[in-house]
Amino acid sequence: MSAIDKRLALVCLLLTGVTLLSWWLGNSHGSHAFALNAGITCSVILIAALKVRVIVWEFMELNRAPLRMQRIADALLASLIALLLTLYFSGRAA
Amino acid sequence: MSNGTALNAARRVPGQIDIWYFVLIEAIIFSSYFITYMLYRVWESPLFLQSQVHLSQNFGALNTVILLVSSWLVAQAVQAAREQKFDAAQKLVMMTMACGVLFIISKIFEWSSKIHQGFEFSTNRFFSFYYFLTGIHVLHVLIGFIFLGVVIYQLRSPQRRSITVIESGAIFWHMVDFLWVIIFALLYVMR
Amino acid sequence: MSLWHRVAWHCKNNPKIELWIMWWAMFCFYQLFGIVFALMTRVMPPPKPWWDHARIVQWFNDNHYGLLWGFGIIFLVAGITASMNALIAYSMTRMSVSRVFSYIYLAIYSLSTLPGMLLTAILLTVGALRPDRDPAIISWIYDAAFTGFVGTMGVFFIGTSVWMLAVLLDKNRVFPLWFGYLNICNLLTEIVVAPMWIFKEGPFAWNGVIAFWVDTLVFVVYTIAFITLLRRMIVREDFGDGPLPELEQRA
Repeated sequence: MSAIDKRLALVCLLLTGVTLLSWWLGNSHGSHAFALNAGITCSVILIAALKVRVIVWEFMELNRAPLRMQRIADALLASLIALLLTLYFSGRAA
Repeated sequence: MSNGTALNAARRVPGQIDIWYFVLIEAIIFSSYFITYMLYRVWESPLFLQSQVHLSQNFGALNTVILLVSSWLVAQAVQAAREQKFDAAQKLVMMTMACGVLFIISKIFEWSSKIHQGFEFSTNRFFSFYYFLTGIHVLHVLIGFIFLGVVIYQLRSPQRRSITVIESGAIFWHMVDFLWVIIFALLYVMR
Repeated sequence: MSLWHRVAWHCKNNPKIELWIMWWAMFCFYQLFGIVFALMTRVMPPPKPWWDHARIVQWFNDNHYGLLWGFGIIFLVAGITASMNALIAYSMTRMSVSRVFSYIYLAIYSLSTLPGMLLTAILLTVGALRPDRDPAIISWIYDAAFTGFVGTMGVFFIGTSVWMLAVLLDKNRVFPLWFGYLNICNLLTEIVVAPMWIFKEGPFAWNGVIAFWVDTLVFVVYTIAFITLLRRMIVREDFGDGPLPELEQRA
C-alpha cells in the first residue's frame, strides 16, 4: 500500500469513527429523552463540520488547490456553521 | 507577494474548475435549505423534537458510513487511474456505485417504514423537511450515478482517459457525501 | 458618427445583425418582464396562499390597474420570447451535437409561454375585469393563477435538460462547461417547486422560502448567466463548423 493509499484509508477510518461517535451521542440518552440539548447539538454540528472539511480537504484534494479556493471553502463552511449555531442558540434564548 | 506566488505555483485545481463552480453553487443552495430548516426548528422546537423520535438513528448512521466508504473507494479509483491501473480503477468505481445503490435501497426501506407508521410528507413540518432534504439528496445520488458512469466510460477506452474528467466525477460524488454528513447531523442527531 | 448612423451601418453591413437584434429583443423583454411582474402586477413575489375570499378580493382591488395595464403590455409583447428561443436553438446548431437538440428545444419552449406567463396573465386579467364578481369565483381564479405560475415547471425541466445535455456533449465549446452544470442547478430547482401544490403556508408554499425565493434566486442567476454567455457567443461567432474561437484577450 502506497503512502497515499494509507492516508486515504486512515481518513476513512477517522470519519467513520467520528460518525459512530455522533451516533452514540444521539442514541445514548434513550428515545424518551428527546429534549433540547445544547451540548449534543453543538458537538454534533461541529463534528459534521470537521467531517465536511476533511472530506473536502483530503478526498476532494483541496489541500493541493490554489490558496484562494481553500480560503473560500473555509469561509463558506465557517459561515454556515456559525449561522446554524447562532440560530439554534438565539432560538433557545428567546 | 512573490512568496505567495511561489507557494501557489505548485498548486493545481483538482479536476475541472467548472465542477468546483458547480459544487460551490450547490453548496450555497443546500446551505439555504439547512438554514431554513434550522429557522423552523427553532420556531417549532417541541414539534421537531417529538417527531425526531421516530427517526431511526441506526439508519442515519448506516447511511453515513455507506457514503463515507463510497467516497473512499472513488478516491482510491482516482489514485489508481493516476498510476495507470485502469482496470483496478474501473472496479473501484463500480464498487462506489454499488455503495450508492445500497444507500438508495436503504433510503427506500426507511421511507416506506416511516410511511407505514403514518409519517408522510405533509404529516407535519418536521417530516416535510425530512422527506424534502433526503429526497433532494437522493436525486443528487442519482445524478452522481451519471457522473460515475461517465468516469467508467472514460476509463474504458485508452483514447478517452482524461484524468481531469475522472477527478471531476469523483469530486461530484464527494459532494454528495458531505451533503449527507450535514443532513445526518441536522435531521437525525441534533437536539 | 452619430448613434443613428452607426445603427444604420450595422443593419446594412454587420453579418451578425440578426443575432444582435435577437439578443437585444431578449434583453429588453426580460427587463420588461421584471417591471411588469414585480412592480406593476405584483405577481412576483406572490401574495399569500392562505388568504380567505375577502382578502383575495381586496388584493385584486388594490392591484386592479396594475394587473390590467401590466398584463396588457405582456399580451402585446409575449411574442418576443420567440427571439430568445430562436437564439438558444441557434446556439445549439453551432455545437458539434445533432440539430435534433435545437428542434426539440424549440418544440418544447414554444409551449413554455403558456404555463410560464400567459395562463397566469389571462386568469388574473379575467379576475380584475369584473371586481364585483362572486368572491368564491375570484378566489378560484387567484388559486389557479398562482399554482399555474409557480408550480408548472415540467416544460422548463425538460427544456433545460435538453440544453444541458447539448452543452456538456458539445466539442465546439460554444458555452463553458460550468454553464452545463448550472443547468443542472436550474433543473433541480424546477423540481423543488413541486411541494407547493400541497402546502398553503410555510417554506414549501407558493410564496415559501424554499419553493419560491431560493428557486427564483437560482433562476435569476441562471438567466443573467445565459444572457451574458449568449452575448459572448455572438461576439465569438465565426460561422464555421469547428470549435468556436475564444474571446480575444484585450491588450
